[in-house]
Amino acid sequence: MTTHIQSIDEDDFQAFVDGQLSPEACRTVMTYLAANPDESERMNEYHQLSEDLHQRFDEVLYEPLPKRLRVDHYRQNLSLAERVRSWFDIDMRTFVPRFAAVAVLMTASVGAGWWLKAGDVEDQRVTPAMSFARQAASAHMLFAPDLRYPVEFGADQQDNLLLWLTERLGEQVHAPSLQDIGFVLVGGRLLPAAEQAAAQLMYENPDNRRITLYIRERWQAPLPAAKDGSVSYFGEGGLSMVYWIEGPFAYALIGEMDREQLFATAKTIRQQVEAPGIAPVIEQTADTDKDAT
Amino acid sequence: MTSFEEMESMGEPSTEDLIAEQIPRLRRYARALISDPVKADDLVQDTLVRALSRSHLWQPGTDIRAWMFTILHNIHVNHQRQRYVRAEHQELVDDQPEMASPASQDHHLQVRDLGRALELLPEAQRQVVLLVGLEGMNYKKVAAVLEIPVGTVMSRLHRGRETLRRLMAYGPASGGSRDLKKQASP
Repeated sequence: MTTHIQSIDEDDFQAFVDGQLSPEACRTVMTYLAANPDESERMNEYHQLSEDLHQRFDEVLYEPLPKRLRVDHYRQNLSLAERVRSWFDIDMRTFVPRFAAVAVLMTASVGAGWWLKAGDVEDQRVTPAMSFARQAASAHMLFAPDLRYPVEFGADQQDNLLLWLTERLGEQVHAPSLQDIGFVLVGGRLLPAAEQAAAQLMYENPDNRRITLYIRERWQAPLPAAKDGSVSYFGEGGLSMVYWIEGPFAYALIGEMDREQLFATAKTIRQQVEAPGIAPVIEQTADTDKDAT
Repeated sequence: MTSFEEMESMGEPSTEDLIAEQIPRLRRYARALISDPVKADDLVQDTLVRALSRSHLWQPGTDIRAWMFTILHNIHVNHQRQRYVRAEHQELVDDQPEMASPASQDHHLQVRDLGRALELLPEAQRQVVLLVGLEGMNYKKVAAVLEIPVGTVMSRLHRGRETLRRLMAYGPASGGSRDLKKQASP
């Protein structure tokens, strides 16, 4: 910008009013306005106009929002696919912040130097936990809504199913009983997971709500001193997932449940896979069941 | 078990949260753009629904306000197109404040009410005046949101403000010959 008065045009005047002018240009305009009262008055009036707009309309900012303009009103209405996509199926920049939280948590809770060693926390590569959670979520998204063929083996063939899954996963797979919280086994299937095999068990309650338990070989173990079973949680728009490592496997439990209920369910499952065959002791079954809807 | 509350509090605000934060501003803008508050809320609602269903398209780190105003603007354009077509078919001219008569016919009019004065502005000018004056957006953002060149933003801003200034009859009627000359140019 030169300091020539001739260089001032209408755009400069507008930008002057809106504070979008460089300091030098601003000085030039002010010099000009000092010598031109009419123009100075015009600038004042433009400025007044913006003030009046605020005076007149800012109160809208503080009006309570009607239901239809609130985000939570639509959370329930988003499709399952949209919600799951909002977790996982996005370019890395989108979900790294969320997983960064998990990274911090796992570092803290598992006391795991391995996580930091596996790459700086800001590293945008997919960690084993991330890819596991993603596989589990996409398996849920794919099969949970399926009405005709949700499973390969139905619960009526539970023994065969578990035998088969055990064979393919290389360790004993159990199908925990979730009867106490109102979910019965629908069945299960074998799934490819990178170079490994994974299992999905599906449960359903009388309202036809489904939850899935995804089981895969555990990834690189945390430090020997760390205790297994630290649970990580995600929840969004009514859909929740918890995942943890237990024994030879990593588990993910996914469903449209509130997190207390999902945690309680995960606890039930853990108690059963730790000590299969022993009836689980659940403190808050009744409560969580009530909270479900 | 670890506490999940801890993790939640560590997480960044979700895109949905960021979207929700913008709603009051969108609503203020829509209210000033469309005088009918119900229609204005309709527009914001449509914007919200579309933003939520496309939240994965928003790039974190970019200006979510500009993104949502762009959505709002696109929806508004579509609404008007539909309404226009409908009106043509019915050969009806219903009360469309957006179709208000050009301001040049209202030179002598003096309106004390800013809302009424805005209605008299051609909508293209009203949008710019509001995004700049009310939203405080910079000119480049306004150009991006409305998908017009910055030069067009500037000329609409000038013409819009000039008309409003006259309509509102701020201060002593100033407007020297210089102003008139300016206004005559497109």
